[in-house]
Amino acid sequence: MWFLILLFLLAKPIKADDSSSLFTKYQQDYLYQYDLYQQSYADYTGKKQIFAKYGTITTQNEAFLAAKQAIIARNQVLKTYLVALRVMLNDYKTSDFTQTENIQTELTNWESWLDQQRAIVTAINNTKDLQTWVKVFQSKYIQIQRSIYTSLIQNEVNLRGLTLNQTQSLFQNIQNNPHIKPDSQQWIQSYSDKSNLASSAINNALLLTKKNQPTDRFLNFYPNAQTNLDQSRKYLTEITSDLKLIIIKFYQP
Amino acid sequence: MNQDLVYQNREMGELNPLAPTQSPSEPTSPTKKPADPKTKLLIILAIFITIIFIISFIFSLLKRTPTPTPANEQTAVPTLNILPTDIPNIAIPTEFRDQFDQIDRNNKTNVDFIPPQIDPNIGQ
Repeated sequence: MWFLILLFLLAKPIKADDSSSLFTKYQQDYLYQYDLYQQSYADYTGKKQIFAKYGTITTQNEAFLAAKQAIIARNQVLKTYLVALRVMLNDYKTSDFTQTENIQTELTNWESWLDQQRAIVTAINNTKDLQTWVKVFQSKYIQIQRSIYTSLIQNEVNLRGLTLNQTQSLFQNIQNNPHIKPDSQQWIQSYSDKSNLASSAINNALLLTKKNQPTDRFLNFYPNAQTNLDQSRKYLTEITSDLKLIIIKFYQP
Repeated sequence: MNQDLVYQNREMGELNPLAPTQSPSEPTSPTKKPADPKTKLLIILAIFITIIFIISFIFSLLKRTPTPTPANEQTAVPTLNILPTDIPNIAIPTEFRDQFDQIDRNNKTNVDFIPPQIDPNIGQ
């Protein structure tokens, strides 16, 4: 009895999975589905080539079934990727809660849409209907890509924004610390310049996600946004180094 | 007597009209000798080395001269590989260390999650 009580007291509560480890699990699931998709896709392209060569009803049927199978596998890959992406957004969500929440809702909607398509594709029994469905998918895929890249940018914007806030808080602590010599003031001035540059680079990246896109194709805004985010990261690293140097030089215990 | 005979013989020779006339000999340099082939080779080699030396000297001068950059040419955007010197946080007073640790972690974090490469035309 005493042993059981002791065990109860010593036992630690089971910690809930944090978002990072949850993301790792979903990422693994996505990678597994991606492998399955590659196998289905190889089967589909092979059967398509056989049909192109022989043109028989049998080979046509086999190619049709392989196409449906590959479509289902592809949609599953997209869905698992979107789930992992949605979970990943939790990491730095606090930096811009409302905007991140909106993006996560958008991703959930696409996950549901992809789930629905599974039943629709399974029910299709002729090539003409399948081709009509492919056109619908292609138009939706433009929007899905936009959601994906917006999410990726938002996630990094959140991280860099959070880091900028942390440097601002640290900067104020340094400024108000009685152990920091007053000579440091002239050095501290350079902080606001670099802070503004970092903030501007983050905003520029975010603005790219809000630009109007053509409806018939996807224009990838991610590389430009990434350049801005790399810039912001560079400024943040410089700010951190500057603050370290100020402390080392002017701190008097 | 003997001496007279010697002079006499000399004059006799010069007075002989059948003897071939001697043109006054041209002055020749006493040091002019055909050059030794080894010396020739050495001279050619020395000239060759001197020419190469001069050419290399000119090229090195040209290299040292900085080429003027056009005024409107943009400088390359520094990449993330060139980061400021990483100062170890151990040198930071303890009251600030946690904050710096957190910021450093964030600065080093990569949040890339490459989207899947899929074929949107399956079944077309």
